[in-house]
Amino acid sequence: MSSYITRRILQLIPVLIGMSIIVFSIIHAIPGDPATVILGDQATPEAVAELREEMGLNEPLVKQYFSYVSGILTGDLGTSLKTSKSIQEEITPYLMATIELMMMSMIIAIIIGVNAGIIAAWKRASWFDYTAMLVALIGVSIPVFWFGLMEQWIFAEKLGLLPSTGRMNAREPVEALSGLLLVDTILQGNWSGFWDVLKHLILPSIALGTIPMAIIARITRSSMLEVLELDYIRTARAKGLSGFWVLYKHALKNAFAPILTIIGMLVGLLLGGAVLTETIFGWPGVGRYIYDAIGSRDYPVIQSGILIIATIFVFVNLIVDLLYSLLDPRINYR
Amino acid sequence: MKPLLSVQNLKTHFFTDNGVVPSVDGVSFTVNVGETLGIVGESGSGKSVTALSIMQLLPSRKGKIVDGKILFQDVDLSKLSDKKMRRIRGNEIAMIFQEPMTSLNPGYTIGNQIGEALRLHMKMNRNEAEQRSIDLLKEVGISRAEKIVRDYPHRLSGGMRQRVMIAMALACNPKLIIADEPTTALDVTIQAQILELIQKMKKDSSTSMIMITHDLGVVSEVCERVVVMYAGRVVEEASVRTVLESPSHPYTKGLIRSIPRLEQDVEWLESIPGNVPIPSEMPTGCKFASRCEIATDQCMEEEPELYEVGPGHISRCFLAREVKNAITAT
Amino acid sequence: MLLPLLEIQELKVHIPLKSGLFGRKYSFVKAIDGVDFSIYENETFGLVGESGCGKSTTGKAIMRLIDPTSGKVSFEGKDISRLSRKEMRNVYKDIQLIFQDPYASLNPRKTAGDIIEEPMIINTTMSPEERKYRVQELLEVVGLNAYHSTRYPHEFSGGQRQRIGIARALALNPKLLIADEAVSALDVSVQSQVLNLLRQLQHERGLTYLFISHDLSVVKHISDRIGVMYLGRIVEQGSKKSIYKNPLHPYTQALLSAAPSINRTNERERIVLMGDLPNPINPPKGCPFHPRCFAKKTECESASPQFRNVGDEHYVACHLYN
Repeated sequence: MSSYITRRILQLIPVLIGMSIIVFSIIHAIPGDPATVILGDQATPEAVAELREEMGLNEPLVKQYFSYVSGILTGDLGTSLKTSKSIQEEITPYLMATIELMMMSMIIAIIIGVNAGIIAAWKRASWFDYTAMLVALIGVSIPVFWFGLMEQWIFAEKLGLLPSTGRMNAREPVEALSGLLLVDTILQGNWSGFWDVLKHLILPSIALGTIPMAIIARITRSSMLEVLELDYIRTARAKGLSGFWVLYKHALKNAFAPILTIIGMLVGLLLGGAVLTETIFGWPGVGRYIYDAIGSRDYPVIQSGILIIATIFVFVNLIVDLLYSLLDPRINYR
Repeated sequence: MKPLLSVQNLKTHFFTDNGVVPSVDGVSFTVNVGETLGIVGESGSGKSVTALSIMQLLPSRKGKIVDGKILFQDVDLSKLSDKKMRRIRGNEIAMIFQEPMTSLNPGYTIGNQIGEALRLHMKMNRNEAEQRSIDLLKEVGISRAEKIVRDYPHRLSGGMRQRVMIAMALACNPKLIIADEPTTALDVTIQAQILELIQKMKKDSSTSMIMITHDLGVVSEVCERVVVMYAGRVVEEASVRTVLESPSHPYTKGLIRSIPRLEQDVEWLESIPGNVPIPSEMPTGCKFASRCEIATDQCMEEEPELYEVGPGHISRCFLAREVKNAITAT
Repeated sequence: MLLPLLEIQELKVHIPLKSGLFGRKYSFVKAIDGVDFSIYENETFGLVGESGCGKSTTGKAIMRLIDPTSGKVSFEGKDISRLSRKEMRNVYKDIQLIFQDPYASLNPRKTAGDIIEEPMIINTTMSPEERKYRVQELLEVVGLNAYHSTRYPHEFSGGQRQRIGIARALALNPKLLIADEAVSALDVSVQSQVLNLLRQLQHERGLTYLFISHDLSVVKHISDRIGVMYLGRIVEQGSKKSIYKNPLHPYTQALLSAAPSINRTNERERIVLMGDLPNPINPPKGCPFHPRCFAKKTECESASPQFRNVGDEHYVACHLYN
């Protein structure tokens, strides 16, 4: 088992190297001189030369790459051109905001999606099955921005139940420790702050979680239908187990592998796809941070943002791979 | 003596897109305490559907018991609520299935799967269940039971898994075990081991058993009485020796003669011509008439009842009635 | 002396398994580990054994569905074990395979006629009319009717599907038919029909069969000579009569006594073997059967027994008969 984990981690090395090369070459893939592109047509030759020097563009390409990689390895993501601040310091709160939103969305999507899928499979061809699958179909079809705006209109404008934008009430700000505000408020015992943060989370996480929820529900249903036909399900029923145990103990464990695969991929989708939701709900997340950087041609920030998202994606899928082994003892680790 | 199980005029039909298939169509038989009843038939005879009907494990949307009673200790199982039926399944009636390779859940340990029934029906805790599982595994002839109990099914061979299935069936000391082709998927030498185990199990307990099989050799080895099924009906019932040595129904006769035997040497095997008719082409009269060499016009039009041929020997054939009449006349 | 139609010499099929950190370490499943036998024209050679003994692999290696690791397969005196795929095409006219599962081996989208016609399209220059005529002829030969040619496999019963499989195998007038568990999936009453058909075809067309099955009574019924396989080797071989009347190898004795019989009067002492088949990746040292053998001697654990003639063309690989 431990050799399996070692091997899987070793296999990540070429992936990570490839990723760093791609991210590094973003800046060199732009037609023309990067410094000129960044500064615009009106820039003086002196300013361009100064920027080239500052960015190390006069060094040979290989040397530039190695100094870039060694920077990353020591935790130095470089400096933002726009604010001249260290990127890793600047990006952390944004990243944490996105992670909090994404985790909330995935929790909602998994809990509702998996259960809806299980019940739909169990009560196949019933009104529940048809309704759930119709809702799931609608769920994957509606545009996120429209859905988000509808949520805001109904729950914030008309009913006034929930706040429509931001992470917290600006007049009673919550002190950030880790940046995951729900966790931070609990650690501080700040219950009013906790409720405030939670209320702000609900609408954006539902907007972001709807598509994953629908996808998970459909995958769960089809995977469960397959497993429920198998002989050991009949064995379990012959033992006198109730439907609940047959479904949640015997069927779900074996039906979960494809669901897990999809969850891993959805995490990547959400990391990249959060931009829209973050924009609509004024969520100070990493998507919006990168989006702003693109607008101001802040290439070091764009590079770092992409690198971080890609790295998270790769590691989430590593975790998914390792979780398979918990689900299926037949997986061969040799 | 009252029978443990009495199936009366059971009709289980399957409702498919292509119409209703009467898989089991008026089947009656009894199982006495401590007895092993064989149900023999070829594919499509309805023998496995009969077993699933008793267990109330029919595929819920397609198969339905449309008529008849299944009296187990005087309680009609076909009328029980799901909750009450669950208390009988695995506890008073247990089942062993054909495919040992796929009948165990690959995701849980052997001990977990045997212990499940113990924890559910006998209210044992985790440790007690594991201890009893080890004892059961030893009972079915698995050495190193302490280790196997923590192993996953994929580490075991087919024969070992079938032993586990038997241990699982024995767990709550059921009054009746239904074994559906328990040795069919196994190799000959492993089949011999499992048959020996089943015989030992019968000797050690008063458990009744229904052995469902297509193999008359298996029936001959473990059963006392046999029911022969064809196209959803019982066509003959008698003691094992009677059925194998002096069968009455032409189907049973044909079946026995079709088997190639180790101790005989023949150039040609006798065989039953044709195939089991498909449900939509089922003849109105005797269901076997289209394959029967001695069928008369009456057989084509009218379905025979079960006639008594001798003590405890019944046969669904007009010929049997005539034989009986001839005997009583003389 | 008569030349055999098919001669297998020292045939081995070792299937590599990858393992280790980067999949570089190999171990081998010795699916077949030195098999020798010959089949003469117009006879039936039965290959019997339990799952994993290599009987099906032997059939596949002859047909080159698996490439042999070493050894020779001679058909009509010519080694076919090293032929290219293209050269094998010619051989397929003479050797055909009947599969176990009539449900899985017929393309569900093709009619019975198309299925039977296919080998003729690939391997002959017959005109469409000739082929059509031949299809109808073949259907009648296997006991079906000409009108069946337009039906699809799902419209047939198991026994009828196996007849279609046989008709397809006969399409090119082969000399040798390899029947791999050809009747195992069939009900008893239908199985006997198909066994009779195979025998009748042999009488009429002088066919030669390699009949592979796990079922001793079926193999005994149809075969002239029999080889008993265990863990990739033939442990005993001889005429049907000598194998069944006078089984020498303890494994053969156990197999024969293990089969459930409907004749209780003819009660033999049943030998129930202990344990399971060993793993063919790590077969036991010495005689591969020794861990389960009831007549084991000390030398069985170390030395592999020779496959020797004990008289009357009866061969056995066992230290008891040295």
